[in-house]
Amino acid sequence: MNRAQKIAWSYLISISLGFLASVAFIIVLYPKLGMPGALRGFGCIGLGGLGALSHLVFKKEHTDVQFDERDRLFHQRAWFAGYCASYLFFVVIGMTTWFMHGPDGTISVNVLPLTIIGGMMALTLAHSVTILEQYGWTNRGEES
Amino acid sequence: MNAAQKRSWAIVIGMSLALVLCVLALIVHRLGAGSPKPLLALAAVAQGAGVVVCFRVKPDKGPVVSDERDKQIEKNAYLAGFGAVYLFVILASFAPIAIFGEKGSLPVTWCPGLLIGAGLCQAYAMSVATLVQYGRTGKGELT
Repeated sequence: MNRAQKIAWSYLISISLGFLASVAFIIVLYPKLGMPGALRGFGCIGLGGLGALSHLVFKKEHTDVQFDERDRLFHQRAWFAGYCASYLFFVVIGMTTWFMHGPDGTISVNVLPLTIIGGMMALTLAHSVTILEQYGWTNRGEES
Repeated sequence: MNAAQKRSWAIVIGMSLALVLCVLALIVHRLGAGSPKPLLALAAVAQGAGVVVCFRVKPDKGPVVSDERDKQIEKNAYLAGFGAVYLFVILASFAPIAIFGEKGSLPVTWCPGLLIGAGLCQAYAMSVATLVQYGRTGKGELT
């Protein structure tokens, strides 16, 4: 498994862990605090940030060719997929909010910055999945 | 000048003109120097004309219409567009906090407006990136 695959796996695991922990905390807190108090469980989404440590943990490979044209193509496609996923996320959230509150409704100013965090998570997830989909999910065929 | 450059010029000129007219309309509205509606209508016409010209540009002719370099330029332009969209969305999302305060609220119409703004931003940034990569003139590019 190469460095890009390891980093992609780290992001995938940490973001999934953060999301699952958030859902679990909301379920646990709901009987005690009700809504919207239980939503503070969403703080666990911060666990997803642990994935960024993978850039430090997995050192660059000491080989003659570290990054060739194929790798560049894979990364370019992965960024495209990531941007498209975050774009889709913004469109879905924006229109859902509009449909929920109606054309005359109002929303808190804090909603939009949270949307950006969601969009960035969508970008990271789609990027990681595309990297793994292209290189392969296992170490078969890729140098360690 | 190739077709991509012509399309980019149409979008850049149309949108720049529309932007200037919108700013003028805002100034007129602020100063109370008359109705800004004619200026806004002109802005809409400028924007629409840019889009119409963009769609009317004929595709390039020749044995090789698009090669690897063109594909790379197109990909880079898309990435530049995405980057511009992110910048716009981040600015438009945090600006209400600065304007209305932490406890403030904003009309929900801001959300679809944000998406429309993002689309315009994408088109503008893509066109500028295409022109920067090909060059702004026809030098070295097939007609």
